[in-house]
Amino acid sequence: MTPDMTAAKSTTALAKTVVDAAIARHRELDDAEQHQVMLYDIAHAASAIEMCRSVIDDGKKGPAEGALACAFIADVVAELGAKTIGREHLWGIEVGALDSAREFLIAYRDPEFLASLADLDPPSHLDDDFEMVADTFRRFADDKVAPAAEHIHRTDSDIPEELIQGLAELGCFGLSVPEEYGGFATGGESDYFGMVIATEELSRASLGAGGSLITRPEILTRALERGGTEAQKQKWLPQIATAETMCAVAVTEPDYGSDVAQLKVTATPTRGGWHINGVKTWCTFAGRANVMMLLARTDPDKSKGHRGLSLFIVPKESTAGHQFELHQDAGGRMEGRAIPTIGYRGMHSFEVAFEDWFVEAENLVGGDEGLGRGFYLQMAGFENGRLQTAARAVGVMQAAFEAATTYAADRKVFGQPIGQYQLTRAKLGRMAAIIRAARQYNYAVAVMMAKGGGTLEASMVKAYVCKAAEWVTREAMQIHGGFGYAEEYPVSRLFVDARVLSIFEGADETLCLKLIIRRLLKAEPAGEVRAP
Amino acid sequence: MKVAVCVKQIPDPALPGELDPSTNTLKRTDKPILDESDSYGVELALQLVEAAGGGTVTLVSMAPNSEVAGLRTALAMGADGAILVSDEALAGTDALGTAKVLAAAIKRAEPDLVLAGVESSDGYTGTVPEQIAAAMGIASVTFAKKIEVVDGGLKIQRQTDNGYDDVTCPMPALVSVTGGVVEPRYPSFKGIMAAKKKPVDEVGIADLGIDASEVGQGGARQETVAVVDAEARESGEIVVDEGEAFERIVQYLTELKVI
Repeated sequence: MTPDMTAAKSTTALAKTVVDAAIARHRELDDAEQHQVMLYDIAHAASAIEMCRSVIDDGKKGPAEGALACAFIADVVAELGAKTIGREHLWGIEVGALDSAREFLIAYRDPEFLASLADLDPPSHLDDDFEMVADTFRRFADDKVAPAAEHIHRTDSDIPEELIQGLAELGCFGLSVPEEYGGFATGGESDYFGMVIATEELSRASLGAGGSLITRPEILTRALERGGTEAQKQKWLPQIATAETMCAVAVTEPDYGSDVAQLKVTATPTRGGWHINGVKTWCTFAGRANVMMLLARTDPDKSKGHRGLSLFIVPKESTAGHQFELHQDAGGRMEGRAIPTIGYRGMHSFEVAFEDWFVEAENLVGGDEGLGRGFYLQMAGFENGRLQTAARAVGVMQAAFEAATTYAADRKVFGQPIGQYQLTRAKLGRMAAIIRAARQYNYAVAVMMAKGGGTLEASMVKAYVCKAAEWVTREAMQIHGGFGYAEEYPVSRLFVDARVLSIFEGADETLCLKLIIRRLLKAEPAGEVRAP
Repeated sequence: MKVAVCVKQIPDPALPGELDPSTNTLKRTDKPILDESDSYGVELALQLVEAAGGGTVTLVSMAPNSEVAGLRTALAMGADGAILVSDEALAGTDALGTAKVLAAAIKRAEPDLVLAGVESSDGYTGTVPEQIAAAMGIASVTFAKKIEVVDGGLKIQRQTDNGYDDVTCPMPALVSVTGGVVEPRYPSFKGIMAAKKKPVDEVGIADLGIDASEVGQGGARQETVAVVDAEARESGEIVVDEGEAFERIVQYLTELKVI
């Protein structure tokens, strides 16, 4: 079937009118934030529609690209239909608002059409440089990361130092560090593209021991870039770029996860610096890390909420294993204990208790001007982290898709490989369409962020893609049958790893309700769209 | 120290190759890649220059259609520049013709040392490196597993069936490098981004002073007269074990003189 990209565009536009109508309706409500179920659905639908708009350009590049784009758009619109049916009054639309998309959906949700997508492998359309970046990181991931991935997962062991060193030599940790500070970032699109491509390829081999190693250096780098003093940039960025300094992020607390404004860990002034007291949790890599990027309350007036928070670089001794206890001569103590998790293993996520842990004054990010700006600086880091997490999700999905394709070709049931049955092929086809669209939107968001925008879109791609990864890895496991549930097949690791994607770096619900939908409700209504 | 490295850009072995039935030669229409067997030479060259405290690594390649895709990989690894010989007249050139062309190109780099893989992964003649050395009139050492510069000359461990020979020779020299003796570095992100800006000096045979009659199909002294499929494996013998199958296995191994 020839892809009809004109129809794809008009179908996407129709779906956008539905989402815009819902946004317009909720913008009028005084108690909009109380309607969480609707707002969550709208945020996800809006994210999916943005992906559709992005994938249209890719669909024009060739018949295979077009087929995958049409399948993705039809899928998104069908899901939108499911979200709206019976709730049309809440969406602010007429019953049958999506009816004119029916012909498009008949064509591109057709089971045989979906099954025909299973074998498509269109080119990436990356330029030669980025094709080589992808090839290089894929080769490193296959040669070095993949062979270690299963052992690390099953024994919950540490990341081998040679992996960190190898990634450092490739330049992984300097992708966002400006050239003048010893990194490779030139301030253009290539910085973000390189990060996205490298992350995807490494995560294809392992989420925990591959792409995620880049996340924390990215976050600290962006925070320092945004608000660090020149001396702090000169000191820390070159060390981050070479992996001489590995970092962890200490923001979440046992009682407060996404509700950052309520954080309780304090930094109190003392001679020559600050004393840190309190408990942080989910500090991934806190053992191996040489420094922690820590958000703490510097203003005792709690009514100031997030405006009373400041960001610190907290040096510490690097330790191996699942727990550590560190002491300072003056009496400071830092104790960490890894929280056992079902997946995402290797870096270990720690709960860390601080007791009068001394941090020098020079490590307050931004110096005196950084007082009270910690929330904004860490958010700057996390924006980039969200795009990077979406790239991690694409890597995991790609690995699951490849594993499922290989297994389906080999495994015979009732006389033929399961990969020849329509049901399997349609699943693989839908996976291929989702992965392609996710990857293309990652690239599009990378371009936006390079131009100084893309913060909303980074949240959107993170929300949609990380949730999609759960379905893709679930179906990949299902295609494996009983062997998918066996630890000896890597697809079982992919399944449990994928589960964390919607939880960390901004829990899906918080991202949708506190960030995406707030931005959408605040935005000026689009000129061409009004609630019907 | 100036090192020249012969690198071949070959069709990707991961893709199904195709022969031109009229010439029995490989079709080279897809984007080529760096021959893995040459990546060891590139790595050794980079290490030698680093050990010498400075110098240059120049790649030398002969490829149709001004192809540089494979060269870019080696440039991204750290080579400083490349000389690419690309000329329609070279289509169908045999091993000796290739060696003459490469020798002429290498001379432009005025190297102290020339490195090459033992054989390419698409043609497998294994004769080009020594022919280049002969054409250049320089010493040649084959199957090197380790190369050191000592007192202005080369000290080489030359791989043999039983181990290795220690060999010394003066410079300039050509050394063919055994695959797998070093781990070629991965191109770094910085290296990849810098590769496009590195100089690639593209020349034709006229620039090298080579007459068209000496190369190409017409100048070739070697012809691939036929290409036939490898013999299909014969099906093995199935021994049904009724308690004495081991006797047949012992007999079989005895026939093979394994035991």
